[in-house]
Amino acid sequence: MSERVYGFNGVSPSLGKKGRRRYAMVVDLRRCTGCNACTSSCKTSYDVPLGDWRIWTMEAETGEYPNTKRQVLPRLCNQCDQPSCIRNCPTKATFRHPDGFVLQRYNRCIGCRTCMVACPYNARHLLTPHRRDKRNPRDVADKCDFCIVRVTRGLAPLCVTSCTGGAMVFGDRNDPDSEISKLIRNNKTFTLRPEMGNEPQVHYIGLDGPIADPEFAFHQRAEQVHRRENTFKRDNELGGELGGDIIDTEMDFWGLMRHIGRNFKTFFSAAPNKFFRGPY
Amino acid sequence: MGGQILANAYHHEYWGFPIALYFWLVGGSAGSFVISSLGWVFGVKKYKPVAFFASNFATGLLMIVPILLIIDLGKPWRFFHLLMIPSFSHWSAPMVWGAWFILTYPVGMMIYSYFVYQKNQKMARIFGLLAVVLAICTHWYTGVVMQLNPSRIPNHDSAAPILFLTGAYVSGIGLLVFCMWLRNKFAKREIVPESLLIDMSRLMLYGIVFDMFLLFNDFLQATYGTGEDHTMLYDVLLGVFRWPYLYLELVWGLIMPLIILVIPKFSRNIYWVVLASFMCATGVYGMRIWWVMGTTYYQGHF
Amino acid sequence: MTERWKLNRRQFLKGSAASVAVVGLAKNADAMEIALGNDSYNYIKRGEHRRRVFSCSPMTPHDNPVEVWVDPDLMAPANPLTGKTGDHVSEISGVTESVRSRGRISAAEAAAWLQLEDGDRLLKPLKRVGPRGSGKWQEISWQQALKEIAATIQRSEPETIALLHGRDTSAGAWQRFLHTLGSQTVVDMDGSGNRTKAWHTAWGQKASIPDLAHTHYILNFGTNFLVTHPYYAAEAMDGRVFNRAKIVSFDPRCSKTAGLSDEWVPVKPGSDGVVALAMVRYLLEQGLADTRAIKTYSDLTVEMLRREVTKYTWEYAEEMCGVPWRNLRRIARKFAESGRGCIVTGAGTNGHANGFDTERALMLLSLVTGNIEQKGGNCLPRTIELADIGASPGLPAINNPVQSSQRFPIDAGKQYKINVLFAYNTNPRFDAPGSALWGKALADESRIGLFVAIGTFKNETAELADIILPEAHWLERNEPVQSQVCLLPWVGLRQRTVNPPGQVRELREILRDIVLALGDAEKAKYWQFRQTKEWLARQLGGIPGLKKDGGWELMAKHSGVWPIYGYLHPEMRRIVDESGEEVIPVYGKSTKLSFVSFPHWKPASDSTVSDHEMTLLVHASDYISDDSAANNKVIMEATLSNWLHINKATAQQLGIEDGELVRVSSRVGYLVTRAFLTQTIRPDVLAMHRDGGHWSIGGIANGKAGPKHESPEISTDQDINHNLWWADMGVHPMDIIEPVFDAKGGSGALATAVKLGKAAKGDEYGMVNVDVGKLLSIAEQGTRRG
Ligand SMILES: Nc1nc2c(c(=O)[nH]1)N[C@H]1C(S)=C(S)[C@@H](COP(=O)(O)OP(=O)(O)OC[C@H]3O[C@@H](n4cnc5c(=O)[nH]c(N)nc54)[C@H](O)[C@@H]3O)O[C@H]1N2
Ligand SMILES: Nc1nc2c(c(=O)[nH]1)N[C@H]1C(S)=C(S)[C@@H](COP(=O)(O)OP(=O)(O)OC[C@H]3O[C@@H](n4cnc5c(=O)[nH]c(N)nc54)[C@H](O)[C@@H]3O)O[C@H]1N2
Ligand code: SF4
Ligand code: SF4
Ligand code: SF4
Ligand code: SF4
Ligand SMILES: [Mo]
Repeated sequence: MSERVYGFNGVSPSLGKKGRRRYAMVVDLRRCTGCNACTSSCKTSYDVPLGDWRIWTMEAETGEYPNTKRQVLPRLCNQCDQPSCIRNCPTKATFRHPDGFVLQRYNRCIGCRTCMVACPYNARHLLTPHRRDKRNPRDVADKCDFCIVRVTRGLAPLCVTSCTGGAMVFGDRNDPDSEISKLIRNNKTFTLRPEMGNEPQVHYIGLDGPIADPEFAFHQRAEQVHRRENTFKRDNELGGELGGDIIDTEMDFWGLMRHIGRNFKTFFSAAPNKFFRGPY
Repeated sequence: MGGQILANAYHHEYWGFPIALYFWLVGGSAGSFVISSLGWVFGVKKYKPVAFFASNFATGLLMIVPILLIIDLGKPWRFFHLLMIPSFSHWSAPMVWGAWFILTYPVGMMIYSYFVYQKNQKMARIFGLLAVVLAICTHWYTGVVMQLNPSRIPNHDSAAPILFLTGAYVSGIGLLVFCMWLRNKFAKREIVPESLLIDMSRLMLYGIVFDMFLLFNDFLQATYGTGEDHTMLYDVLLGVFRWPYLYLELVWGLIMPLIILVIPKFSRNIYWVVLASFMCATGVYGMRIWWVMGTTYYQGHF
Repeated sequence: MTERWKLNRRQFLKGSAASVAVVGLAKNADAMEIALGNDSYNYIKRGEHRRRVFSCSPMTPHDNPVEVWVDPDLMAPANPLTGKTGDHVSEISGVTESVRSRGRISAAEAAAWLQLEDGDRLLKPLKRVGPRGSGKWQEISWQQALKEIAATIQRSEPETIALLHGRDTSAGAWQRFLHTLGSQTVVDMDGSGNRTKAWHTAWGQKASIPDLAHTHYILNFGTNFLVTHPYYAAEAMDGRVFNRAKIVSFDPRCSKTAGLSDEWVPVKPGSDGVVALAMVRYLLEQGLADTRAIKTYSDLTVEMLRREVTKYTWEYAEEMCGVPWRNLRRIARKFAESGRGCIVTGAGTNGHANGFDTERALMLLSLVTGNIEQKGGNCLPRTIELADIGASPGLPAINNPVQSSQRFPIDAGKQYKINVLFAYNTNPRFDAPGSALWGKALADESRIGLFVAIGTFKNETAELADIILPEAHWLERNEPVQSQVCLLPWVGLRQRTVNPPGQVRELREILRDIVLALGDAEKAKYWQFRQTKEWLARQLGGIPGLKKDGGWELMAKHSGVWPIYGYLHPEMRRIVDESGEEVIPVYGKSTKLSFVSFPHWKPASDSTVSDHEMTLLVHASDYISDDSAANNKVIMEATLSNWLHINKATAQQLGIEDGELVRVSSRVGYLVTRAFLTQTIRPDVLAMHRDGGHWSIGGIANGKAGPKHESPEISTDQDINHNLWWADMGVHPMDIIEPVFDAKGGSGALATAVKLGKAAKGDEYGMVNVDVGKLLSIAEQGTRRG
């Protein structure tokens, strides 16, 4: 793995470092049933708002009748060894834990969303102002934290424990006897978008075919999925506040004007709220 | 192998039109200031009359910037995290550099303006030089903010900041010419001689040509690129972004002004020149839209 | 068993140091053990422990033991339904030591606790105002509700009192209630009657357990079990990893299960039986049949069998099922040669007019390949019996003949009076084939006297009731649970994790209170308890082995299930014993399958189509476990609405584009939806999932919640009010399904022949138009003429 030392946030990658752990995950796609138990348990337990995901599953069909297959791909933050999100965060609100977690400090984050632009995996989201439990942070960036509250107390992440197929395996890569080390040693594993240089630490067994290809994901959306996505952009309150959501079916001249108008309207109308909502 | 995506999470694009506007304003400001500095810093005497206005104009544009940026933050009260607490600032992030540029650049410009007002050539040159560097940096960093995101295909390119700066230069001059002409109209006298405005449009023309040259290279690269590049190319020319990019930026903002400015009959007529300037200035906003939103648009699906 | 039970975790670790390393629980300086459950922390309050309460979810087809995590967090926002702070459920996870759960849960179970504080919950008894089904309700007191119900019961003959139920999770309470009133009129709405009846006729048990984890070859006929049966999914994935088990799925559409299988075989609807019989014929012919098994486990002889299957040649099978016979032959060979193969079936085999015989033909295939009661084969159910509650009322002599779900909407109240009807855990107005027929029958006051619906949420059926009684959610109930399909049987319990809000009562309390309101001491003596826990104690406490092992209270605290067969191996993720070896069930129960009436194959009348028709299949949706999950924000966010799946080539022939509005017409009516073009379905088949177009249950299910609606039923959850983003609520498909039944099995078909075309002028998405008269005449024939 990389010999590069990660500067500026004070913590270098822990992989292979003595006395440190390098927590990582393997998702064995041969065992994943696409049941979304991972998504559901994570979403409910961490009060992840609708429209945001710490983990989600992609699903695709491939081939032509009658030789068709389905593919499922659970996705979450890769807790990268060379995380571009951290590099680009101006406030050190996102940082590296010495045992490999990439974490958020909500009270530092200014909600500038640079980290989201920087993450090649879309693993981050801006928390909406409206949470089920009002004590949870709002208007700041968030993402999967590898369940640090559980893991530091010796408990596997929630998605891992609930996984129907037993497809998710979590553990310390610095311990050669851990299950995850063995799995990575004995199987061909893949990571998503390795060319990004982030050195992701969510490894997949059996990752194959087009589902991991961003271009496929963009070009080959089922029409229903495509429409759903446009509904998402049009109807989500946050869509307006963040603003840049482009509804591709509405991008003629007047459509562009509407986009601009709508965006500026929500931009300014959300402002007082942001200023006077209080710290959390 | 054919197939289709049956389920996925959806992702918002992160930055919107206000941020595109901010990029445009910063660019306009930097461009104007470059003109302002020509006379006092680089000794092109004939530009001295516009220097004071151009500098103040650039400062004015830049004053809007923090408002947009701060409102855009999820936690606006925390904007100072970028600046005042050293341990909070993360120096590997171009945004932090930018925060200081945005802070110091207008100050530099104001001091420069003061000395221009005082007709103090020496001090104006020193502060003008400083402010020019800051102007370029301020805009350069916005390009870098976009450039350093590995997956944002169209921007993840070392030519990005140069393309950005060229756009800034072009739009800055265009905006300046347009506004000075307006000022003449309102004042009902030639505060700035029309010949000077036409002269400035020549400078803009060089910028346009250079901009198109860069774009050509960019597109050329895209045709040899991966599918993502092809997608981008398709979309800016024919697809979702054809309005901001093909029509607004390319046709309206570059090609038509180019035509106006190379045909001698038009290029010497102040009305045509002002029109070309206006087109140029507004056209660049189209490019900023593409740069901010286009770049996150594709990846929003993965 | 006793031994294992007595070992708690610490003793287990201490007492078997040698095996610890094998089990992988070793603690050393470098390697920290990562536990797969048994704890939870409140992340908002800096990781304080949460309190664990064991329970058991009834949400998936096979009850799942769970750990419910309760926060006594006084800083948390008050429960919006009660205004009270304090204990609230904040997480659900699986029980690691349970052979059923192994720490895992389904998506719907993980999100179930959101329903506890759902603003759409029923909190007080409701009485209808205005005509039935007008949707206007008035809150009434329990006293009044009970009085009115009791008065009607007193006026009624016992046989005019009836119960309509889906899955009965009451552990005997309903039966006791009806018997107390002198009735035994139960209409079971469970849709898998053909299958259970087939099994029952074949081996005297209403279930069959596929030993998926230990098999080498899985033949899946018509179930999307990776989606619908999480327990099977977990077992099958283990089989795949540990035994390299192949999975072959027979299904007209490439469901998620078929698509993730090793092979998808796109058979025509209703043709599985002929495939099975042709395979049997071939195996007999090739000498690949297990003649010993045939002799031991059935009442057939090889000669008889040979004679019966002669007509099922490969050519015939190919013609009927639409799949090249060479493929079938290869699969049959591989399956027989695998040594251990098992067969799973589901709504796809059960849900046709020939479902009963299809299921039996598949049992025959299992028998012929020697996979009955073998490791990795199909096994008899194993159960641990619950003890009696106490003296129970005798079985009533008189009975109302209207007890089949087929005849109920036709006959109820016509020849045979129904004065009081209870509906519990079912929603036929929405889910039954030809559901509009149910709507008509239930709304008719001259046919159904007093209609009482009981539930946690309203549903489309309850909308037609006279009185709705608010029942406690499963997380608020005390009920014993028996395992259904585990080869290592267990008992467990649901227990109250938090108190129900407002005036909500448990089912057992509701039934008791109705009986007590009758003021009849003779009847009341069967209902003497103050707390539901008393009955729980009797039903679980009376199990002999459990008593010896320390009693049910210990179980309720310690693990929620009994017996404990071992511990979860952190790497294998299976239950292992002290020596680190997987606990293997005991096979080889003796049984004799009866094929006295041979399961000959006939085409399914529901799927027999003419030239311009196609078969519409309506199947279960991905994450929605029962209708009430359609009101769960997390589940619905993941669920795509039920656009009509259609093969791309077919669509092109019809000139239908992706996303285009189409009209689907059966003989009884039509619906308007959008086309979803796909390669994953037979060209002559159309499919929709059945959870679309709700108009009751709650704001999320019926599309009235969310920021786009200034609805009066605004939710108690800010997240829903502001962030709900989807809009398409789907289309209700069940009205246009012809009510066709399997004469032998008694269950309805879940398919119907339809014509497909572009939408006509004026058609709007979601429109459903059905001719109830036609529904009625088809229902009366009971079958569809070809
Ligand atoms: N998520 C979810 N899970 C559920 C339920 C739910 O509603 N949602 N409901 C529960 C209940 S009550 C039940 S009974 C089970 C049902 O669970 P399953 O038995 O898995 O039923 P379905 O998903 O309806 O699908 C059956 C499959 O059979 C296919 N099929 C249809 N006709 C035929 C045929 O003739 N031959 C073959 N080979 N295949 C055919 C359909 O295309 C479909 O893919 O699920 C239970 N679990
Ligand atoms: N076309 C087609 N039709 C089908 C099927 C199919 O595959 N295709 N499947 C068929 C099958 S197999 C079945 S089993 C039926 C299922 O149809 P139903 O029997 O209607 O079952 P559910 O959809 O689970 O609805 C159960 C209702 O009970 C309520 N409920 C949930 N929990 C509780 C509780 O604890 N107490 C009470 N009192 N109520 C509760 C829910 O709110 C819900 O409204 O549908 C059948 N219909
Ligand atoms: S996946 Fe994205 S958010 Fe997660 S560490 Fe990597 S770059 Fe950062
Ligand atoms: S949104 Fe927060 S975490 Fe992300 S870059 Fe900005 S300050 Fe950092
Ligand atoms: S590790 Fe934890 S936070 Fe991350 S996806 Fe899994 S459950 Fe969610
Ligand atoms: S819980 Fe496991 S099996 Fe289910 S979708 Fe997630 S990773 Fe796949
Ligand atoms: Mo069912």
